[in-house]
Amino acid sequence: MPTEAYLLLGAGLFALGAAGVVTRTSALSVLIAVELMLNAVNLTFVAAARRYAQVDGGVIAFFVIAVAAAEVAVGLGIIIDLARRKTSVDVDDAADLRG
Amino acid sequence: MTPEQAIFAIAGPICLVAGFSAVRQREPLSAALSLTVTLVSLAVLFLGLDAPFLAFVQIAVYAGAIMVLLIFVIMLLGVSHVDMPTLQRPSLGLAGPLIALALFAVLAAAILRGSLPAASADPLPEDHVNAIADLLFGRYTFAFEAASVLLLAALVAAVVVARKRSTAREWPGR
Amino acid sequence: MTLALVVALPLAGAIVIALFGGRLSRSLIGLIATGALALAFGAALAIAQAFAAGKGTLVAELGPWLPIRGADLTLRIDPLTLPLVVMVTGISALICLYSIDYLGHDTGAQRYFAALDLFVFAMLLIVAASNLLLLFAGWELVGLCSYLLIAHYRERPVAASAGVKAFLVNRVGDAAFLVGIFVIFASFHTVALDELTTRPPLLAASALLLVGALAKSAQLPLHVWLPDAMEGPTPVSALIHAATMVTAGVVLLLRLAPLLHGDVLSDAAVIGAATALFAAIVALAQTDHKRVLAWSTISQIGLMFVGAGIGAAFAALFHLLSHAFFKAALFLGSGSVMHATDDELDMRRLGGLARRTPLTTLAFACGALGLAAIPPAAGFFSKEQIAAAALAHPALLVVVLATSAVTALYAGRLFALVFIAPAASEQARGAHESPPLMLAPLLVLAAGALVFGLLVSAGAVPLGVAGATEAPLALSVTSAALAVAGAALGLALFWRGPRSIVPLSLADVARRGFLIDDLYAAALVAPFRSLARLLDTGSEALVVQRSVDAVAWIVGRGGVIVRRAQGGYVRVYEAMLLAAAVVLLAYWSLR
Repeated sequence: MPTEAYLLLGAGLFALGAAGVVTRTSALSVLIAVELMLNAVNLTFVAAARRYAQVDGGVIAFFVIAVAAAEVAVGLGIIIDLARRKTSVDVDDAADLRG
Repeated sequence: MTPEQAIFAIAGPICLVAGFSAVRQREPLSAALSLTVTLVSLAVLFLGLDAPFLAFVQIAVYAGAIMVLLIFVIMLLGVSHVDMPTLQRPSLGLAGPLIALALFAVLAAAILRGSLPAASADPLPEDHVNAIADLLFGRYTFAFEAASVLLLAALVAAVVVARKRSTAREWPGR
Repeated sequence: MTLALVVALPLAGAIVIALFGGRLSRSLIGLIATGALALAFGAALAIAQAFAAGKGTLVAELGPWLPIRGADLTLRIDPLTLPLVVMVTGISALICLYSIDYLGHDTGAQRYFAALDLFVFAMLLIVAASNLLLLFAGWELVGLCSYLLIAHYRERPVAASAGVKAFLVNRVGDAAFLVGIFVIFASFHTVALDELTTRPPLLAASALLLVGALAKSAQLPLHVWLPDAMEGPTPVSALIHAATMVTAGVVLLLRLAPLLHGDVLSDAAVIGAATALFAAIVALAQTDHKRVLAWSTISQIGLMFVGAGIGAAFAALFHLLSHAFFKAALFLGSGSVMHATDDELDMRRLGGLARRTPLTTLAFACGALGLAAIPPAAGFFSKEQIAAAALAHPALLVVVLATSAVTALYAGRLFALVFIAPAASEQARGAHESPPLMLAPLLVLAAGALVFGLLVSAGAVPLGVAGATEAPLALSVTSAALAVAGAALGLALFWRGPRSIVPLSLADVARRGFLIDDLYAAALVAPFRSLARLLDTGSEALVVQRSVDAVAWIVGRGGVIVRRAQGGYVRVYEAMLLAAAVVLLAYWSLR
């Protein structure tokens, strides 16, 4: 398979995630969309690693997974706190900085 | 048809459809399950890309640990947090897909211009896990340690943020 | 050092009063102001002593000021300006002392005394400045202080507009003066007076400086502000007329005489003569005793201009000083009359004060003798000097003598109406003598008005300027006879009370200064008003207001639009972030 096929698939997943980040209002859905974007990037890294016969891409993907784990942990903590404070996890309700 | 092509032909569409579903589902639990399908199909794609170790990590850490955590929190918060269509920012319902489409168009155009550097003739090293380990504990030692610190910090942060506050005693003035 | 002290003490008094006067009682403020001036007078006397011992000039270099040749903070006194310094400090100290009781119930005493001290400081700056720019600084300060003091009763619209009028009319002269300085600096590249006196005089600059002097000294045609300046407290009028303000123009002519072109000087003499006669006739028709004095000042300053214009520096200086004495005495006497009669200004409603306020009457009489130039009062000697100097110019001499006669006439009329004629109102019948603190300065000044001329003529008080001419006996006799005849006529005509000699309409025209004010109102003020109204309703509403509104609208709409970027909605931020990323990616990958 040509690398471009994987890249296009990654781009498609990334765009789907981006659309989800903007359109979803539940913080949980937003978090899921962000995960989708991260995985799309991972796919590109792994595909590039294979194309150039360098394992570095895989290592970066590994780091991305570690960062994603950290991000989910903190993100879920925030969501729980949000649910407690606002009795909702709607990101539009968390607009206290609105001028 | 090579095995890799077969894998891509099956897992690729599944991955895309499940990703679309993960974004479209209003019910967070359904979205999370769709995302799990995407993650698993990505792991399969990793296998086809000669990255079995990453495929394993994807299943074990991502589809396993992270998704379990996510689903756990969704269930904890209950079904009241269904993603309801909002009236506050109606324009974003249109702007999001449009921006995403533009993003995809730009990326696809960049990819299909064929300006990627030529592929390497060599195959990946046979001993995939060893090669990753060499890099992790060799060239990327610092990043590896930094990632461990990051995870620790995230752990502490998650505890602090999500902890039930016992109000005034700890936070005088609130 | 002493010189710096003379100039700095009034300034220090003004600053102290302005800063700390709010916590002090009225009389204490007055004492501080008077004390500062009295100390300055003492220092000035010390300088006079040094000069009498043979010193020529005194220079105090206080430091650099502007990066212009000659524009340093340097003070300089020579024999010409020394008498002025002594007179300004001495008379203003007396006036200040008088003000303490006069303003006993005024809530604005703090700003009054601060401005008074600043006024004296400004005048001293004019007298002692060593260069044109420093002189101009004093000149402007005098204008400012006169505005502050004339509009002292600022809650009265008449007083406020009188202050504005004085300020605006003076502005005409100040502008001319400033341009004159520019011309001089452009030609000679220096503003130091002792350097400039060696240069040839410039016609244009001289004319401009003369315009400045005319405005400050209220000479034709810029005299209109002075009669209105009567709206200020009476001691202020005394100060403006006698010591600090209107004489500044004469001081300027005397000090800058070497710089001024001969043609301009003779113009000054002609203008002065015209003003003197004109103002004397107007004074004759006044019904308000302060206004009589105001017009008489214009007239007397005109005589000084004659003296300065024909080069008789001694005569002009002598008359300036004796005028300071008798005019201060007259104004303070006028203030005492007002004090006695609940601020009655109309002479037709006064009368009979001679019996009720004998000391005021005595002092006023001395001042009136000085004004009427009846020997041996001060005015006689100084006016005689001017007439003697004008012997070479017959036309001027005639005008001077005619002015003297008219002056004596209105002085007699004034005295008769206020003090001798039967009391014409309740206020006049209930008049009471002023407190001692007001009478003391008044009597000192009255004594000065009486004897100053004799002292100078006898040589007991040196004026430092040579040039005393021996007047021919015929001239002395003529002027004395004119003065006595005029005064006697004035007394005789009016000792029974007011009466009309000339047709009422003519008297009214004269009383209103021959309508020059109305002419200005019609020719300058009215068109300006209608222009202002046009701009107000036309361009202001249509152009300025609209454009301001448009700017406000644009900013407001822009704010509404830009505000969305900071709405606090995370998703909006995300959308903008992504959109920007798309644009950047498109630029980088597809170019």
